[in-house]
Amino acid sequence: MRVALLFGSFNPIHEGHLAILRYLAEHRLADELRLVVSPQSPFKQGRGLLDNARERLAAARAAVAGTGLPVAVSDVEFDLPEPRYTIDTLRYLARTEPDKEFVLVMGGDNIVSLGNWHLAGELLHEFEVWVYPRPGTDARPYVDALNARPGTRGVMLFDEAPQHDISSTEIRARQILQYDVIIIGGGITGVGVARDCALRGLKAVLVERDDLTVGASGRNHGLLHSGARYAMGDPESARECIGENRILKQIAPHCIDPCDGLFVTLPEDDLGYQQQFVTACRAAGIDAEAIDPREACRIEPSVNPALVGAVRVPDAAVDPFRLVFANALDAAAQGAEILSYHEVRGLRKDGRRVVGIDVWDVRGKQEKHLEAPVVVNAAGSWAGQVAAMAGARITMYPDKGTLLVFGSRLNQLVLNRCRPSSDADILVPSGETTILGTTSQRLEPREIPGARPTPEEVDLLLSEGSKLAPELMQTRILRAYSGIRPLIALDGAEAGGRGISRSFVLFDHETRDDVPGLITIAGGKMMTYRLMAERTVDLVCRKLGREVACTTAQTPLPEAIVRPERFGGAVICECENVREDEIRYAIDQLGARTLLDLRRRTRVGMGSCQGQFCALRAAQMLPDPDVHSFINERWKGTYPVAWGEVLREAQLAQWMYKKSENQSRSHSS
Amino acid sequence: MTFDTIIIGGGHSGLQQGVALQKEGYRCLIISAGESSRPFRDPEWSQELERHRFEDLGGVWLDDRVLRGVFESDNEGDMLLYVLTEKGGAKSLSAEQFILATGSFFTGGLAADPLHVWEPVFGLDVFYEGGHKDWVNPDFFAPQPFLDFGVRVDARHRAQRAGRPVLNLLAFGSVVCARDAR
Repeated sequence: MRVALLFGSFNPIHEGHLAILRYLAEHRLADELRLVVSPQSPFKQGRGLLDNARERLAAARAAVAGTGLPVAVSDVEFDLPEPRYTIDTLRYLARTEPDKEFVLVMGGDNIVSLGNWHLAGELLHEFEVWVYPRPGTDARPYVDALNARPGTRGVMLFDEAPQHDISSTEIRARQILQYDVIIIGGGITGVGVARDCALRGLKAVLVERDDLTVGASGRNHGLLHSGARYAMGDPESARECIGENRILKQIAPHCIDPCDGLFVTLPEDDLGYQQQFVTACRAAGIDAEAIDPREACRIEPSVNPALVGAVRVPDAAVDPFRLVFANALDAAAQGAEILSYHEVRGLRKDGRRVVGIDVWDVRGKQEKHLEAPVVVNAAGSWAGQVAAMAGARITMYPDKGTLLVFGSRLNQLVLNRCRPSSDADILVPSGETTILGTTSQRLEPREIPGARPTPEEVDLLLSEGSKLAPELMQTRILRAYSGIRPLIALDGAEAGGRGISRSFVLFDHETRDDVPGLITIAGGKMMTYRLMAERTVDLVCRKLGREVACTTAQTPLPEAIVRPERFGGAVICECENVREDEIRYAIDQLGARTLLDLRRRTRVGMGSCQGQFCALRAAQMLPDPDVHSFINERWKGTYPVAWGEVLREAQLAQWMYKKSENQSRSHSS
Repeated sequence: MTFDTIIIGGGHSGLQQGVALQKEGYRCLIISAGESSRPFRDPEWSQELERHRFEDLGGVWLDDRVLRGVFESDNEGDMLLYVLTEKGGAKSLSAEQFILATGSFFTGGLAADPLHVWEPVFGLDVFYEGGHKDWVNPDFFAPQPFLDFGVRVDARHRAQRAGRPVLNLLAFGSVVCARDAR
């Protein structure tokens, strides 16, 4: 008994598929016809129109039923473990239904690449393949070549089958997808808004032109402020911080190290400032307690013993990558679509009203059209460009900050200088490392892409930072990095005289600029992302006339990055203890394709070897290994600190990677 | 036991010199403080095999680290009289001829802080330019200036101290400034 199998994602099923089934049925070429619908991981690149696999399955069943053809629609792949290669499914069927002979049916456009499939030789040996012609592809030479391979069971080309000039890809390109709300920007603010929308039952889609966390969300101190830093100059920010500090410790304990912090007064600082500081903290609701300098040295041995004053505050450290991915994963679990590597090409408008966006799917290489009554601009430093597409004006004030990562955890508590904010006055413990920051430098928007740490900034950070903890000078530096603070410049009236605010702003462009349908959430801090999202989605709900209460302050976040103890397999990255299974998880469930994606999801290459030994090992597992850009990205952070141990390792890296680079070049040529 | 030549560093260059000198009948001691970096560049090369070759020719191998040397000056230049090692304590090792083959940054033949590059055993003259920001190229795959740094040698491969040649100290391998090596 012969069973013909037509595999696909059927996203969506169309007349071309049905015509093939009709041809096979009419010519009685098989005893049974089956459509095998492939599921896709919910977090993988949402290339499709119907991103819910069950919807695609139902649509395929309905379409087949409508034809009256004797075709079964199979969901066998839904229960098979990932990765699902066609050969695995075929073998599974052959094993579970041994009385049947399975034949693989495929389009002439796919046969072209069959030679590259997983276990292609085995597949051709074990199963017969039928090929139907596709316009624009001459499958004959490929069919002949495959038939000439020793061991091929048989590849048959149906020259006579009808050709339909239609493809799912083209159908998708013409389709306009409808949502309640579109969010632009895959930083902490955007994913926070997406999760809040999804929790309130809104159909939300988030688009990000690169990977999640590539902007300021992945390039900061990882400081969970108590608000003390802002207590003197910006009491409103301070209150927001302490409120969110308490909430995040409740809803995201797996992202937070509740280590507390010290504000330290050194002999060169004004001790009078400390008293005002404590008073201001308390006024803002922050538990700030002046402690004896000797006590400070006891609880924090790395602090400069010359200190003359210390205040303990509830600062903490947060893992920004975990926080972003936890929000994104939960948003997706609640029904939001997260489309990373989707670049906004333009806004769709109806008069002055913004009704949607046109996006370019960078990896799927196709344009998509999304529409929604509300578009939220959460593009961080790029918010000005997005607003400009709608004819609204926002002046962002991008500000570069450079930080240094040290190879061991020097301090147990966050260390701050108790003085008006300045360069290099915060030292944050981060896992097994310590991060020193930061500098501050105004940039023009066009300078953002090229922003990188400079050796001069490194020298400044070191000389200032070592006053806080003298041991820094003798501690090995792993790398330097720069982030861009997406600060916003306010007009006179909006600013209330404050000029550049560290607080956030929510613009309703309908009232502000006569641009209905667009909202901008900008400024603020990672710290207050949840509150920013809450206020934003409150406004979205009012605009949609669907007032639903926010629950994010009470709803815990799931663990995005599963703890390493839970994964097995060979160790790929020794420094951060990342094992094979975790990398597979990041590829299959978190959409990692490149080494840089993988680093953001698993910490591969973030540890003390900086990817020296693990990059090549991990690259072998990835669909799209980009060793060259990964190594240069790492080098961007190490060359400004290239002396001592770093220079030693740079030399080793030069030997290892220039050689493998040469090898791979000579292989490909 | 006395030696004609003491070689500091048992990596690729030190062993190459040791094997050649043993074959010519010189009695050599190699003092080696650790593993060679050569296999990172040339996986075929084995330090262990080369060491056996050297020892089979009568060479002597010592696992130890040279801490410093004692010099004597005369009109033409300096002479290295003897070296002191970690395990040897006050016991000195002397020879007619010394060879430095300690490798570069990775094996500790050279060391660097943000402003200086130096040769840590004898404080020999080292070629480098500027401060740390001048040592690297922001493109990893472009030529990197620091790879050229190393001890200065004259036409006879003699190392130098404070601008004067050390008459009985030759330097070979990646400890040598790439511009002087030949």
